[in-house]
Amino acid sequence: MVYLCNSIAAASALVTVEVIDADSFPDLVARYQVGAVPKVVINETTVVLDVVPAADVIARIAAS
Amino acid sequence: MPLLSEKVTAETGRILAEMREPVRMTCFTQPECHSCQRVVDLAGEVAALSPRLRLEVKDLLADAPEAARLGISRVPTLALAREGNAWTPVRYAGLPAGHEFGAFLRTLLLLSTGRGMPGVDAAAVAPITRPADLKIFVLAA
Repeated sequence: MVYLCNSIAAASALVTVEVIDADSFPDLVARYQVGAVPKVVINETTVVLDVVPAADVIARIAAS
Repeated sequence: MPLLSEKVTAETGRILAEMREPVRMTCFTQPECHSCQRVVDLAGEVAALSPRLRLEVKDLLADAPEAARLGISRVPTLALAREGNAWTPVRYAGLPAGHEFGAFLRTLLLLSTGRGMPGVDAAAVAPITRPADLKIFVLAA
């Protein structure tokens, strides 16, 4: 999932990615209610859990 | 003592030999940050394995304007970009080690070569027409 999102960010000048080690930032884990990883939060709202195809992730980014 | 074992160091060097364009790693730290030095050390060990990698270390407060430009507000954060390119698409908050080290190396290659995951290219991302910030939570350990 990380490499997929990083690939999207490298291909689109509109997308940035922050990969966050959950163990290092418990405050963010609490704020974003991270119960399992990987968890992707798009624009603070849309959430993608688990591994999904690239087209689905791109569609969710486009719709967010 | 190095963070990377001899075996991982050798394999990392083989992977990074495929780099083409230079990539800059900018590590933002703060003096009171206990985990920052490990990220600086790891990035330094990786940078030493390729002449196409450069590591700079910055202080989040002393270099606040650059941190703000890159959207960095926490430490340790490692920002990755192709050298000479202001666009910095990927940031790592925390140590990119353990399970995440492989994806970290592949991301360095991606930024260097422009070749990412198959099928993820300019045409594929064309539906994205507004700025988007993605936060991905992982467990490196």
